[in-house]
Amino acid sequence: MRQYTEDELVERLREPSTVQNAFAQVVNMYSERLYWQIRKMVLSHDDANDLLQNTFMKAWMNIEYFRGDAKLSTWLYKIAINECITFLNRQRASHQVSMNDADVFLLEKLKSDEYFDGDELQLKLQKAIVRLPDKQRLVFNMKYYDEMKYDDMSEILGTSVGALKASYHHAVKKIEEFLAKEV
Amino acid sequence: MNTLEELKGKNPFRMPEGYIEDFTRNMIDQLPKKTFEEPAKISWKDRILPWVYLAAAIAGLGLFFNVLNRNGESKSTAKDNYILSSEAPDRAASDDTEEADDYLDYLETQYTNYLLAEELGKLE
Repeated sequence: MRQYTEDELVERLREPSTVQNAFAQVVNMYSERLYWQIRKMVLSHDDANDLLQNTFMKAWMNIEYFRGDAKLSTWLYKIAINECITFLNRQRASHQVSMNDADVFLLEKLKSDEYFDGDELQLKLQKAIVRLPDKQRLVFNMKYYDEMKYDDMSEILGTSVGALKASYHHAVKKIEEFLAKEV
Repeated sequence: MNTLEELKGKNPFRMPEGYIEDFTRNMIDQLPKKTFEEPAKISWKDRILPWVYLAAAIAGLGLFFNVLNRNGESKSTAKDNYILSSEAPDRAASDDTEEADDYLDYLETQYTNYLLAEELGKLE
């Protein structure tokens, strides 16, 4: 299958005759990136798999409304992040966890997750990360794990670069303090 | 070196073998078919008829108001005529009375002259 650029893909997504093939390529291009973004938020592989499917299904159902003002990747990231936040809110409601409390319930799943290879230190780091508010956690994951540029993050999250830098700096500080206490 | 620096670049998570490759195939199979409707062809009749109906409606309204106005005018003319005719009989009746009075005066004068003439004839 010929690899198209993002602009070419967007054009092909607009045509009824090529939309299916173009979308298959979109899934191929972005599924792994989106998977890791989701996985680091929800921790469990099974949950990440469900949310990734939801993300692409939503994208497919709304593909005709994608105007091309933003990048296709930005649009997909936004859908994925919305899916994560919605999922986490539902999980908090079912575990009766308030918005201000940590998503410690996620760690319970992680301990028994066969697709988590981290040691005790990694587990402590995840414990620190789940204590961050959702948006700050997203910023931290995007910068720390994916080394995403602040400009790209700004497009996805709709936050200024300055605010993102401050958010990341505070997230690092909180995590280091937590890890220092835990050790 | 702190923990964050120590762990940077290390991903503790993994995915099942062949997950991403299978994901793409499975995802495409799951997607519902997109139906694209052909835009309906609009005939010249469909373009023109609404305007014809609008013109007919406006003409009909115009005619309706025209008829209403005419009825209004004829009623006011009849009313004027009625006013005129109700005044006229009064004037005719007063004329007749005057004439009658004049005639009576004339008759009285004639009779008086006749009686006077008779009296005068007796005296001669």
